[in-house]
Amino acid sequence: MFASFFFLSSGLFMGWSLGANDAANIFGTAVGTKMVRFTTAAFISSLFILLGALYSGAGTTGTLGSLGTIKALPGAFIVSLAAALTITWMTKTGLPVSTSQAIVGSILGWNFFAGASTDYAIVYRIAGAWLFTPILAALFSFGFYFLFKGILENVKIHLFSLDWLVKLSLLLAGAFGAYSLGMNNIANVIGVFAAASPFVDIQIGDSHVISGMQQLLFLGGASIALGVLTYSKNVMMTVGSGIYRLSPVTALIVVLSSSMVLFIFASESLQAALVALGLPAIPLVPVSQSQGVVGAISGICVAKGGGNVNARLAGKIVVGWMLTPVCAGILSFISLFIMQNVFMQNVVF
Amino acid sequence: MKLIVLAKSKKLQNEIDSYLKCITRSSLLFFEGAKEAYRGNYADAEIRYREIAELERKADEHLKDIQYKLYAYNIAPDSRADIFELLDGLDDIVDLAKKNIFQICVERPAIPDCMRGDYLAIAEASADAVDTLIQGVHSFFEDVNTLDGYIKNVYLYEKKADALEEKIKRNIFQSGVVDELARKFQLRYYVEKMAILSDVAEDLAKKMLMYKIKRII
Repeated sequence: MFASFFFLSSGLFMGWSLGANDAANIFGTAVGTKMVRFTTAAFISSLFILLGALYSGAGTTGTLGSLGTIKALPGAFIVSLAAALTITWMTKTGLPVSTSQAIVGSILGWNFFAGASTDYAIVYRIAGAWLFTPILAALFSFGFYFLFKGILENVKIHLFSLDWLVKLSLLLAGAFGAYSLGMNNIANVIGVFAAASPFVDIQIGDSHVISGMQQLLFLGGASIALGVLTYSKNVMMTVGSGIYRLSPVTALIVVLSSSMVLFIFASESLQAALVALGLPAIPLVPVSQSQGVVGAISGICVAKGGGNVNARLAGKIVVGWMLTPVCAGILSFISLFIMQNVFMQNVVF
Repeated sequence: MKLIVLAKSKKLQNEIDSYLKCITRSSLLFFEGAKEAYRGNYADAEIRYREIAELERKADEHLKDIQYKLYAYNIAPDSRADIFELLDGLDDIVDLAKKNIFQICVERPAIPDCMRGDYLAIAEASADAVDTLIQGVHSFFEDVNTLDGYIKNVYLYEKKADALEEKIKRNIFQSGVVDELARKFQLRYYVEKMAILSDVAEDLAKKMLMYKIKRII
């Protein structure tokens, strides 16, 4: 049992760091500008991340599972650890990094090591979703910008009422953002453990069963929530007042736009609805919220007529896109080799 | 919850409205006081001075309450800072109105008949600038999209006051109507005192425009 929890620790660490960093994308401006208290933001984020992970996290988790089915717990541990180390290293070098890209690269590394076949159709679908994340977020924020501008310019609203409405909207958008983050990014935390889960189904009464998968989703969601509660305050303050300063309404647009992208790429109901209408299904893929935020801010820049999208930053993102999965894949391959041959652990089956 | 928040906001709005009334009234009394003084009715000018002093006391009380309520009612920090800076700046208008009328009442400057009309016109332009500024402050709170029109008008009144100030100063020093240098200096001093309210109004209008830019997305 102890060994099982030890091997899950890399996933929990991944969840913790995701919570510490990505909650800032949701509530950073609201907390940094003191529109919302940190305790309120942390509580809402934790609760809705957990709910999103539990109730809607299965879609993206299934996609990662179909990319590589890791049945050995030590193998899943290494894959998750390699992704986490890649993120740490790339963050240190200042490159924008995505948890989703790191974990996918890491799984591909396992596929190569284990000699398992890789379904390249899924890889292309995932890569397409990554490409469309900032583009979609930019399109949403572009539309929201004109919608909000139109409302603010045509509706006579008192400053104090506007202040209250913006606060309320930031809380609601934050809750939606947290839910979307939980449902989309939970796969990065527990996706690789899905096939090697040490949990067994728990029977409650005659009719209710808590499945091993649900327990895994809960544990992953809880680790993200713990990251929010214990370590996200400083990141929120930095995002809210240091890196880029957004007005509360602009922050609302950015959170809404990036969260909608995460929601679209994680909602099984939406996918089913589109299929029922005869439309092409949107793939359920874990995508990067940070890249969604960058796309949303760029959309607002374009809507304002500046067109001053930072080409250097865009270049850095593209480099990050290419480097993250490659580095994670190589590190995963080497670490699996060491785990198997030095620590004598079965990492394949 | 919404009702509680709106009720609190209403209290704060009422407090701000009362404060703004004090500012508008003080600028009107400033004009009235200057008019009485230049006509030689110093007793009436003194009454205006006392009325302004009372308004200044009331305005200070309102400002303290507003400052407390801005924090107590949890208004967003960015908005709170801008609102307080704006309202605190308006307090200078009452202070200056009181101080200037007091000095006219005490010093009783002898203004040549040919210049009296221009002196009054400057005081009137200053009072108009303040009145328009206060209308702009109302629109800043209630309907920010109409603010620009008021700001433009404040600039116009300030320009008018500036033009009159220049005209009177030239008259004082170049027309030969006034002989003594000390008297010339005193008259110039009062021209500046009459125009100063429009300068303060213009500065606050500029600040308000900045606050508006911060509010739009």
